[in-house]
Amino acid sequence: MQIRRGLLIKIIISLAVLLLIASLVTHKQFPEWVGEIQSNPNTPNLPYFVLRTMLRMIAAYILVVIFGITYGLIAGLYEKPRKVMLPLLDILQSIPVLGYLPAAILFFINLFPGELGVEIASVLLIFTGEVWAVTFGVYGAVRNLPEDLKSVGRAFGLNGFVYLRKLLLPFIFPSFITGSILAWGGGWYFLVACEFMTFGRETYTLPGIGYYLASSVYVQHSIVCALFGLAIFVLLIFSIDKLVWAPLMEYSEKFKVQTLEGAEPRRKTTSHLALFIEYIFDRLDDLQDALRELRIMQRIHQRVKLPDIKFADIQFELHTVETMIDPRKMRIRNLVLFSILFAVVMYFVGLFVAASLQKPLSNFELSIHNHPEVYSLPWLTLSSVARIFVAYVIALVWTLAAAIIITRSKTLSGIFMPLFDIGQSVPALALFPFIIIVVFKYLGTGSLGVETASVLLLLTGTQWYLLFNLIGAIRHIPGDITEAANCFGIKDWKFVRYVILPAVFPAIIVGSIQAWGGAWNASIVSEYINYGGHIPFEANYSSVVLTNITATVNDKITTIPCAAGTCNGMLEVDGVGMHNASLELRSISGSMLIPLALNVSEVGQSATSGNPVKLPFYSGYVTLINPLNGSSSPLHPYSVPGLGAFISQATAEWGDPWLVTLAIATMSLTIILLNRIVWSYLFAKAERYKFEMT
Amino acid sequence: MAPILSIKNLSKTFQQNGTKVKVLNNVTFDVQEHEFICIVGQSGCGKSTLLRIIAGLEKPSSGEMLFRGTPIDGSDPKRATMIFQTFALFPWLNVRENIELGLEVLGIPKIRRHALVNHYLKITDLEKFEHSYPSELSGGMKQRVGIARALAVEPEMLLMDEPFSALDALTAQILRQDVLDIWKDTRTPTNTFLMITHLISEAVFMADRVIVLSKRPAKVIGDIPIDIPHPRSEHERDPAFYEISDRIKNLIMTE
Repeated sequence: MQIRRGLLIKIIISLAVLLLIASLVTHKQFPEWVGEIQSNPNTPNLPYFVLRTMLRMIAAYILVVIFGITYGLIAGLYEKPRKVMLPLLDILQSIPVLGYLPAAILFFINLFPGELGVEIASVLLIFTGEVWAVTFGVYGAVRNLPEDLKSVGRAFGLNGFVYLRKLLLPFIFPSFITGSILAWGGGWYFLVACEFMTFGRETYTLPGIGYYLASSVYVQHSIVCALFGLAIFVLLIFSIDKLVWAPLMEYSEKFKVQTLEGAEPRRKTTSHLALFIEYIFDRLDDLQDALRELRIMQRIHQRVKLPDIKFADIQFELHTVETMIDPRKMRIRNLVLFSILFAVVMYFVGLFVAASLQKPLSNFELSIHNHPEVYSLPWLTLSSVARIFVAYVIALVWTLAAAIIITRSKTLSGIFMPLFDIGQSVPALALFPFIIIVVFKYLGTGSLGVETASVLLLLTGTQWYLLFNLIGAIRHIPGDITEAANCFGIKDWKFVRYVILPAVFPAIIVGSIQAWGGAWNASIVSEYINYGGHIPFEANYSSVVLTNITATVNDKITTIPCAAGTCNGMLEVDGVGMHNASLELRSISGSMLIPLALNVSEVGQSATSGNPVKLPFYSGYVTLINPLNGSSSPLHPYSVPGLGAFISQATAEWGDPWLVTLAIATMSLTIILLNRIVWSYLFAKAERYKFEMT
Repeated sequence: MAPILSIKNLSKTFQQNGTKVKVLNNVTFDVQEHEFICIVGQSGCGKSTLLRIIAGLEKPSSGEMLFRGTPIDGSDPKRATMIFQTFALFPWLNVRENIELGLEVLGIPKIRRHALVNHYLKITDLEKFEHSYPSELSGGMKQRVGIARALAVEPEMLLMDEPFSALDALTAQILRQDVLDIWKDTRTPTNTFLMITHLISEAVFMADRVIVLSKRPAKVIGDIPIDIPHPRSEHERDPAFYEISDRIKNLIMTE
């Protein structure tokens, strides 16, 4: 009953919020909404869309489970493979998925033409966005198996498959579930990107709820439909939360090693899902017993034996799990191994990107010659770091304040936690158009506007990691510490200062690592905003003094300065396609208005120009060179200087695989270095702040 | 002489999942200054709740509790501080910093804080460990830190919630005597101690008076003075020791 009420409240609140936003943004009323939604040709397909989306997510998840458990188990149990597998994991998970997303799509489309290729690509992409959470969860749990349980296993002769079935798999189950929940969160994020992609001349789509959302914005231009799609999406995520993850979380309590005497007796799990899982395993056990009777298992064991787990290795391990390699322990040999692994991985990434862009990888001298921007890579990296840092600080401040305030009162908690849940489940990429529209409207599209939009977009990929880690940490402050503090007069602000802030320090570190990872990924789409942009403008004049040319494209006005016979600049446009524009030529003597039909083509396409047009203007001539009626200019999206923008630009505009790979490698290396130098160090410092289980 | 703590008809009812649970039922007793009182009862009978109310961490549902004649309202470290079964030390502070915490919050200047901490480090025999962190200490030493921390603010009363339950028998034995020595030590201004325990032998070993509580809802079913002279380790085999222990045990078992 309690669960149902919570879900009901969440649904009501999310509907209310959405209705509010809808009425504010669209200035329309309810009957009009219904009409608009009904007139959308995609709406009747929504149930099918939801089905396809779920199938996609489930297919990706099955792959994630197989890979994650296998990799995590092997790396966790066997020391020699671990030496390679752990750094490899580090490298693989630092590669930003959005960096090779376009490449992946193109690659698989070339292999399997049509929708099949796009489907395979998207499943694999969702897989890469989800797999590391599960792999790390499994690995961490395997390494954390308590000594006494291992001893019992050894004493009873557990080894091989039996060890797996009876001890290891049950023990890692809670971490596996937590990892899976995180994984699906990541999956939803990429899902929207995978179901509606535009680059080059093509738009690749897949039937799904993300497609409905994106097409509502980009094709039907209907905010109402977009919000409706968002509502369905959120409802879907909530349902999965309540029907799948909540029961599984409760069931996983059974497997947790409790060292404290529980105050509450554990309730018996009644969820159908849990009972189903137990039923399956019971039947498997029965099967194993039956097979043993037939001596089949022995024969299989003789043929297929898992390598013996060397208990001696496990016995003398450290208790703390190193999921991150401590920089102080990095020796030359590890460094060399790491460099080799890194180079190999990046080589394959390069091949992949080259195959997808259908250009050779080899000619790096030519690339550098064509695009000397590559020399500014270090500065671009620093610029991205600075921008992410700004977004990070903003996120940290508000999430810390929110977490402290929320956990103080049950009523505030009851109102805001559902809102945060909603906020977190809404896939950030789906929010981008809304944020961009609002920021550009109020702050313009100059540096200030674009940088602000960029930082806000980064925030959407960052803040939730911090918020939920912080709330969890504050809730986990042991009751006796709180009582001791109260008894010594530590209350209110003093409590925040003396207890909460130190207690959440480990959570801040963990949350920050995840937040920065999310930010780097988000930077690829946050620093290069494909939502309108600029096209180049060029004109010459003679025998007359032009002061400037004012161009009006739809409702965007740009003033191009003129000096020394030429006017050069970038015209602002709101998107791809034909635009009706007008140019106002201004001089001291007077002005002239010229209509112009502008054709803005896709990012990265080559421009088609015509012959320059010479126009008489007072006592002289103005020669329009670019743009002209009948010519087309490729869009240059809004961007800020940064590494993410460079990757996007190199992919979309220049189509240069070597530069793309170089930039991805730079981002990956930066992430790994920051992890090793900054976060590892802080993580070690945070040891002191962890509460022990007595 | 007026009692330092006077409890009259104290009752407490909790709301748990919609049902009301009465844990304390008209508890009445007094505590004189310089007394060492032990409160015994079965697990779950409400002893801890009673102690938390005395500490000001909970409010009673009805009844009266007076400290030196005035009603208790909220927690006040100068009135009483507490020692916990689970030690409740702040893991990010070392021994010295943990002991100093209460003093810092009271706004005591640094020099005096330093002197106080040194004093209580000496009394609890922790001088060699002042820079260690709780994770590096054994259970017994952690509890010593808890004791030092509670005494450093020099409260009028010291409250102890099953302080030795989480320790092994040998360490608990040593600490019991240490606590008694501290109680008798004239260098520590705190001399009224209230301790909760479920071990009858522990209560008889330590207390001037044993208050026996019934099962939930708890009421006072016995208020037994203990005359055995200190050091009681020399009298543990006396008939008087056993006689009192049996009396308490019967009270608990037969109600």
